[in-house]
Amino acid sequence: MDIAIFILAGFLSALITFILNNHLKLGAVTASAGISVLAGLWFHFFPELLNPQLTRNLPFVIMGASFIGMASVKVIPRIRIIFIAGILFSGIYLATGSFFEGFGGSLGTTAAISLYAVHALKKN
Amino acid sequence: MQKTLQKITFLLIIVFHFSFLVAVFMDNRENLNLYLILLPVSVLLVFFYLNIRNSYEKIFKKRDLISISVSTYGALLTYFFNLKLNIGVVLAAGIIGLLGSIIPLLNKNSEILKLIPPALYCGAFAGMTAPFVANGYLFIFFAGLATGILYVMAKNILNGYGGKLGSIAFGGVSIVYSILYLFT
Repeated sequence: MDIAIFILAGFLSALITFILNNHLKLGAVTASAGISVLAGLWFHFFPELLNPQLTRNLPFVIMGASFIGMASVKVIPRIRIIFIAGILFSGIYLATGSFFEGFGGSLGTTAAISLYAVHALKKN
Repeated sequence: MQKTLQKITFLLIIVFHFSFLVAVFMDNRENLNLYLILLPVSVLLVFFYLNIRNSYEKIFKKRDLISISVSTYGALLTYFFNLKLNIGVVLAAGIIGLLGSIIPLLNKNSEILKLIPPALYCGAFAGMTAPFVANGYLFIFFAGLATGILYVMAKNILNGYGGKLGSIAFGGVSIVYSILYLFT
């Protein structure tokens, strides 16, 4: 069940950020930071709503996947690349576990790797 | 010279990505699920970089110094918010990013103010480094500075692709961490 929630979170976060960024013209930084603040606030004020694993990791998944949605529609015109990359991001996050702790930029690096890999799949 | 610097930065980003993958593999050697996911991802990443084309037209300007300063400031502020307010790194970086995105609204005609949001958010990612890795503001200062320099050097690279800012921040943090690891 937790895995499904992580995958859904990655999928939705990437997709919503992409829509806010490109279709509602909010800009990449506002869209991603807005989603991250909402996720951060939610789990800050309701830390016991979900189980500890979800409460601890979901904000990271939501923020990391939102970096994928920072892509420009001019470069990634097909929205399905964004949501597949969001799902892949969650998969990599779940598989790598503790590696994410500590190093700034590791979420963004995983987001970039997820997006570039899915983008390459489309091109080749 | 400037084109060469930008090409070197592009190569550095590739190195950061593959180093990250190697580090993840090394850290999770017995995790078979990881191999199922990351081996095809690594192959696809090679294909992506073989096909990507960058234009190195824009040159460095004096205003790039603002981006470097803002990135350093973003890293320090995020680290401070996380450490002193105890709100967590996601909320700290998100608040800094959101505040930065408001700044261009102060004067919509200013080209300088438009530089601030991405540079600040990029620095904020470096400031997400945990205290047990950073061990103080000096590390964060240099990580933010290195991130800012890489950010400016990468301004013509991978534009419009998500995850670029985070990759740069990871590079900045890794460079400072490696230097400290080698010399202390």
